Amino acid sequence: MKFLPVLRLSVLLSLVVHSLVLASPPQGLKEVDRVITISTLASQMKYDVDSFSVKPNSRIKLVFKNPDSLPHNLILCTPGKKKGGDKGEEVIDAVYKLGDKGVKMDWEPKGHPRILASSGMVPPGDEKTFYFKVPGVEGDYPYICTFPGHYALMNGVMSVTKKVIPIMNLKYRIYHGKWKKLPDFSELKPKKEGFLTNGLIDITRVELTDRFGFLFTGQIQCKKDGNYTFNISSDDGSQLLIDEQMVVDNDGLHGSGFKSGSVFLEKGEHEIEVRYFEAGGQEELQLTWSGPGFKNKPLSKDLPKRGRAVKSIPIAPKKGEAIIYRNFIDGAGPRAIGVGYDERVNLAFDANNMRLAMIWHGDFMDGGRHWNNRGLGFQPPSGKDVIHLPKGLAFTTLAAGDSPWPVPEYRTEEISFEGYVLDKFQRPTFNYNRDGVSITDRFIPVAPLSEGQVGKIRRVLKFFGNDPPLNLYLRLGHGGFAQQNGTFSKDQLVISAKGGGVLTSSPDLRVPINFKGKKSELEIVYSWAE
Amino acid sequence: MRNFRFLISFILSSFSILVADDHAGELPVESDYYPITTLTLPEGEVIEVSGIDILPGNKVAISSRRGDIFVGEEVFGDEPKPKWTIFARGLHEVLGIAWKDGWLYVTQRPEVTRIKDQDGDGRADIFETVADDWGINGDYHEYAFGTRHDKNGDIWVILCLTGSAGADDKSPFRGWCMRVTPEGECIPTGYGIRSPGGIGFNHEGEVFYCDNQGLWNGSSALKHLRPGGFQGNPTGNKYFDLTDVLGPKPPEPVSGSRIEIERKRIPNLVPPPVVLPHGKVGNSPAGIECDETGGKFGPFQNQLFVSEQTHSKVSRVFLEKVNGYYQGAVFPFLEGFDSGNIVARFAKDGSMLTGGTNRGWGSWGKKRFALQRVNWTGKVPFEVHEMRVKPDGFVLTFTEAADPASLADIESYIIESYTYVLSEGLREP
Repeated sequence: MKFLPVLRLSVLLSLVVHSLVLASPPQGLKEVDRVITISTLASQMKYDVDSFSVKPNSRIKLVFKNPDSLPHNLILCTPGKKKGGDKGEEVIDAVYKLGDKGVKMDWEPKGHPRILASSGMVPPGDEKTFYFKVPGVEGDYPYICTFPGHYALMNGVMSVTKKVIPIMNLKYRIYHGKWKKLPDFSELKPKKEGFLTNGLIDITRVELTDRFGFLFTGQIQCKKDGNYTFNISSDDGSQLLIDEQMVVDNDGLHGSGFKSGSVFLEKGEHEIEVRYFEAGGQEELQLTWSGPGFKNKPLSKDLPKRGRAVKSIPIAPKKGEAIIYRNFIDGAGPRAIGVGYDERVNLAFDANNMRLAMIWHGDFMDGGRHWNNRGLGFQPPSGKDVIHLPKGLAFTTLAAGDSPWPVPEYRTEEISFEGYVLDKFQRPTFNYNRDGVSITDRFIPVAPLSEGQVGKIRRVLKFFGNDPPLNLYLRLGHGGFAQQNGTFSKDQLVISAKGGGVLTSSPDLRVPINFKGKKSELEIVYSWAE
Repeated sequence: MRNFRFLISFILSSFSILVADDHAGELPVESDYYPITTLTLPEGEVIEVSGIDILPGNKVAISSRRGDIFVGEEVFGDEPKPKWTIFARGLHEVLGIAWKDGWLYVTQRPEVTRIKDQDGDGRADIFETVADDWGINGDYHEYAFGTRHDKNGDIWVILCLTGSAGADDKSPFRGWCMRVTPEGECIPTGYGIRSPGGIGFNHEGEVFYCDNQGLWNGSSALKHLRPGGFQGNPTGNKYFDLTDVLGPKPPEPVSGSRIEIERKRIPNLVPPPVVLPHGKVGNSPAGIECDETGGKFGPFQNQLFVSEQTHSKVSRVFLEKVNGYYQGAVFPFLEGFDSGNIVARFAKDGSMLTGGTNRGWGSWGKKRFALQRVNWTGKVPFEVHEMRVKPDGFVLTFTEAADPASLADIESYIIESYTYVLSEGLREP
């Protein structure tokens, strides 16, 4: 079964001397520039790719898959005289002229001057790979299925252009819905789908202004092995995956703001997937990428406007040290103190409320927003698995362990920030004071046990007060937590604590501060669920 | 007669007219008197200089908008080869540093902090919040500029309005001046500020700042922070609800009125000592530094030197005090700096260190950031030294004896006058 198509193509080759089509990589095409996969869509009489772009003189391997129940082919034609809308009509005319011979010839007028390359007829459930060299002339090269009656629906355009196409075979799918974070698009039916031949992500193809989502898929070309950084700014949430691996997680309801992630990629083509949703208000999706030898190339049509922060300035700790970034940090407020540890764990402290606002791992922060131009807005963390800890007051006195926690205020008046002390690793211990109780809040990064794992954050709080309150609580987590073997977990967050009183895990995770005389000490470990 | 002080500003053009006799053929240039030396900064670092102070041992501390503080040695001398070490990193856009008793006091956006190198490794390890009784909401314009310590040991902090035009509920005391005492008390001391560019003292320890042209500021001006004084922009007056230190909330000025008229309604309105005509003297006046070098910097003892960001230059201001209020004149001093001048600081040897940036707001000097030094060669430039207002005109004194005939010749002077309307509009001279 598998031999037949190859044989047939060999025959074809002997007939079409000028064609560059080959079934197995011939001399000069052993190394190809691009691999393009086009599939038929079952019972839709359509190709899944209705356009793609290639560079002049590039070497292409085309994989044509046919999961449909009918036989189909894919014949690539030279540009027609008719501007726009040309579907290789002369080739179709030639197919009709084959008459009775058509069936035997697999509906292919072999040797027709407009045929550039052909898959040959592919039976249902089969696939065929062929190779060709793209002509040097720029233009729109139509491709069609020449099985009688198919071409009107089964057609597409190979655009030959010198322009760099940022994302190849860029497909978009539009979904409607109201979400607070990204849904699983694979479980939803798209309202609309299509291709973006310019290879730039674009959310303007939606008719709505609120409550919609986009799924973009395509391939990016990496010219070298190396580290590649992707930047996304979105309003609201977005995620970027390369080869099905999360690289930038910018999910959730928020305003625009660049977030970046890096990944090592080998030379060649890689799958890119971008997920996006808009709940309400302004919408924005901007993407750029940087890699060996290039910086901030656009991946989206909409890009940061002039005068807005563009250039990424990664902030990373020195070896064996921590680094501090005091600025407007998204999720930690205007008076945030970001701390990045060499152990690849990070935190942001909110000095307006004396609370641990966020923890995340991987890359620390990007200074590009605040260190370019005037520095507008709040910058979210760069790394992964950002965990947001409860907003508002971190410490309060309660009548009972499950009494309502005070409503968050913009800035806590009850506790005053007194600064921090750096140890020899530049790691801060924060100092603050609550009504005569001085609190030192020390964070210690715990390196992962092995490469590829994620570290932890240990926190040691020491309290000292001449007349300490009896009913002081620290809120560790928001909402109900599940308890197992002394650890408390919710979603990605795992917390253990010792030194305080008995934790309450509902309505949120709280620990009473038990003073022995004037002192109390509490140790907490924050980690990410496996 | 005091009206002249703020209703009219003077540009004395091209003094070379007066010295034509002495320098026929070859006119002197500024660098004959005040050459500028560029000081190298550590490679790979972006140091948008936003604060300068002199440390014991003739070391120099500089702060940056990125929030770093570097300490340099060997900054002075004929061919300086400064050696820089990092003192602190990651602070929130430091706009003012001051060394006192082993601590470096830094004014960050949200607080005044004092920092110290306790273990002696050259890097600060203690960061103590001294005062933070004002708010920020995340708007980039919410700058906080701080002085060095005044004679009482206080640091004066001026707070830009939210977005340079608003007073957010989350950002108390925007548009106000706060005095931070050594005990960490934060005393509301003045109000009516719009968008300051810098702050400094005169030789008497009085505090001045530069406010930038915009709402209620027909032109940028050098203003005097009289305790309890109102600087003309009422946006921040809502914060009278939060303090009674300065008494009840005063009436707001009437847009389109004149300063002298409004002073009758609002006695605390402080007329600006010197208007810095927008576009002529500069577009973005910034830091203020007083020459107290005792003649090491030339003949301008006790005069103020105002950094100008857009025009990359330094202007000179002479002030006199009449009936308890300052008035004066501004003179071009030196231009051609590498970046947008933000701060200046006189060093012990009488040289003036200047620093700046053009990030966010372009400057004539095209470098992104710069630290430079101005030395006096010992040659006295022929300049108007002082300019006083008298009921019947102006009294000018010069740095050198001048030709009586050209002084008496009315053709030697070109005078333009401007009237600035007190207006809530952005640009209404």
